[in-house]
Amino acid sequence: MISNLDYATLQQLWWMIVSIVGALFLFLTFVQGGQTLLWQVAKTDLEKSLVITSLGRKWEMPFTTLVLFGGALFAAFPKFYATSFGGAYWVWMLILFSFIVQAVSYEYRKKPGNLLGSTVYEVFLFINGSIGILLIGAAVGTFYTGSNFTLDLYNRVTWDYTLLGINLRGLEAAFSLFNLSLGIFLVFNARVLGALYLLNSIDLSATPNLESRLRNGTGHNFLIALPFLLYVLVSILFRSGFDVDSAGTVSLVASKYLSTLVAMPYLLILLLAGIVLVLYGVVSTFFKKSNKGIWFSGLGTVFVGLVVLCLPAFNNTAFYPSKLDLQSSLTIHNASSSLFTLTTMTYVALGIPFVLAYVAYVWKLMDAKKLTDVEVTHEESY
Amino acid sequence: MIDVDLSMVNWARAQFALTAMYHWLFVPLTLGLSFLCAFFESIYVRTGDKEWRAITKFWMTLFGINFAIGVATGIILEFEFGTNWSNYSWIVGDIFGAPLAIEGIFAFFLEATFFAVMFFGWNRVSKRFHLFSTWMVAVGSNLSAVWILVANGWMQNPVGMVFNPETARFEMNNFFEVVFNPVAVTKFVHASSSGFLMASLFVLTISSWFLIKGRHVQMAKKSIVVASVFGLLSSSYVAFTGDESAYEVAQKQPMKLAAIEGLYKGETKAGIVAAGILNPSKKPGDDQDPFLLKIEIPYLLSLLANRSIDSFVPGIDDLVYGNETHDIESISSKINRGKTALRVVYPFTGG
Repeated sequence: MISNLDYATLQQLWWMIVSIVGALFLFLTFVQGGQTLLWQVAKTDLEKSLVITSLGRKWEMPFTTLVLFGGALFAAFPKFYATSFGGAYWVWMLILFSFIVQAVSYEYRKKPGNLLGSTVYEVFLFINGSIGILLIGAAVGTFYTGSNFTLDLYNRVTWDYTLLGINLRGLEAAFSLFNLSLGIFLVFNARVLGALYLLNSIDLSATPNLESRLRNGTGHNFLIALPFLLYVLVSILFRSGFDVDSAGTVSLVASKYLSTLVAMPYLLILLLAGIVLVLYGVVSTFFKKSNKGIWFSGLGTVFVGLVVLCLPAFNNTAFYPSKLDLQSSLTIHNASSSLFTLTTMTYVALGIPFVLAYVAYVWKLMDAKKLTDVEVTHEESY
Repeated sequence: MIDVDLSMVNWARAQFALTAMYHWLFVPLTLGLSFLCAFFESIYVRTGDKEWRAITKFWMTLFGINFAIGVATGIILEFEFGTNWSNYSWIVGDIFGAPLAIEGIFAFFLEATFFAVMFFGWNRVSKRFHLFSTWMVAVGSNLSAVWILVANGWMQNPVGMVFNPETARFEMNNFFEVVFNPVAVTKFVHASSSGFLMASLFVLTISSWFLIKGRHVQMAKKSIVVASVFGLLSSSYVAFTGDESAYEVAQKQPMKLAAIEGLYKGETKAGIVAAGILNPSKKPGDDQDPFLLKIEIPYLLSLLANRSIDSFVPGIDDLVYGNETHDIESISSKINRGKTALRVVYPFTGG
């Protein structure tokens, strides 16, 4: 059956797969969000240990999902990989740097005799959760606002944006109000998710102050995130989009993304459902003292993330537009791998549900009992 | 037609090489240490002896530290293919991206999921499930080596692909040729077995130090028993797979072999230099001796490279300047053919 799928369908399918991985990553940024909450919600050593250990048991998940996001893009859309990573060098390098320091922080923070001391590693975790996620948001924002590159006949990328004579190589993405708003929304949404996750995973009976700070954190961070989300959504609906005609010519078309939502109503339904779920997760936690908000807000984040990633690519739209030369823009048709590779990778992707199943099973098994103060004091902890 | 800023290329090379070298300081250790942890824990589950559990936990801590560095440097390497070698990513991404994606789907998630159980699941899951998780981390670590070496093997010996002049890039046409590329297979078995050996030596070294200091004596002795057996088995396997790996280098990348051996002028019944001092002023094509001093074992290079003591092993000069007797084309001839190909392809790109 897979071998009968046509090229265009496979290209759409693979953008959908990449978007699902990206959307799952956004859900998993509860780890990064929790890291930025550390100093705000954990005031004692015990509270700190509970927060760090709870997050530390999941730190590999967003990390691995990010690696898979990169790998899937490389396999399915190598021209995007080449153009964006090669061109927007500094923004990607900074994002990666924030993830390197995260990985070592969990393992080294409490190791005896570490050279830097635990506070430095906590700063590293904060950098990962703030600057790292902000830049990821800004990078995703360029799918809507465009980037400053051109491609030559050999698809070699030239990046052209200088400030004081320095080529910023992608860092300029953070200067756009739209990109910045998306980044800030993701940072505060991650903090909401972080608080919701910690409420769900820790036995807070011995630390009531931590619980009240986490509940307050959920509401406060959501209120900060909300205007940025609304700005991003309204802007998406009314901004011009990078339309691709049947000859492959790219042009700016007014309200392109709005017309895509109308043409693909399932995306609109997903978006609305996502927003409602995020809201329900927060409200049920803040007002009804529920500890299950992470599942609603998490699923809602996946839905919203999926729409944000699919919208700039579907309905004949250039997902990586060039502001300098519209015809250098990347579409899922001109940036994809060959029919053979996409078909082969689709067979490989049949294994993904199996992977998701064992991840979910192990997650359930490990989180069946909440993390207790006894556990972090007497057993393994970060 | 194509201008390349060589100084930039050298920076890109330096950064990639630095990351790869740093990555490879830690990864081989995790390949073997993960299996050793699985062995220790298997003994614990079988015997119920708490000391084996303590031993497992001790070595797991060291595994965890190495694992974190391996992961942190690994993600950089993946993305550096895009940041440092962007055009390469485009030209061969159709083939090269697939193993990296498969590594992410099947290996990284296996490691990441069961890593948490391995460290924090002692009192949360059953003994057997914990043991299963430890084995899964070992399998996942080594599975990730499989796919990255499939990618690397393809870089050494590109197979399973065609050149598409319309897109001016290489495209995969046989997935199984890429996966079962002989260079990839030999690279994996050699890299993993050397990782097993290295981890065994790591455990032996630390345990021996404990014995000398009179600390954790029982733990050290028990660790030595397991690591010695694993190391001994691995060492013979390393020798066998090393021979296979070098044979593939000789067959597929003769210049690499010539450079490794310092062989400038090809020889029939070539000997291998067991030890020597290289001549720093030696250049390809001149008549200087490449070694100031050498101890050579006769015939052995021909035997290792071609499995025949009478065979010819080409040297650097043969491969650079060509050797008609042995039907070796010169580099200048290859460059000219490449230029012709570029001229033919150029119009297809719209130029």
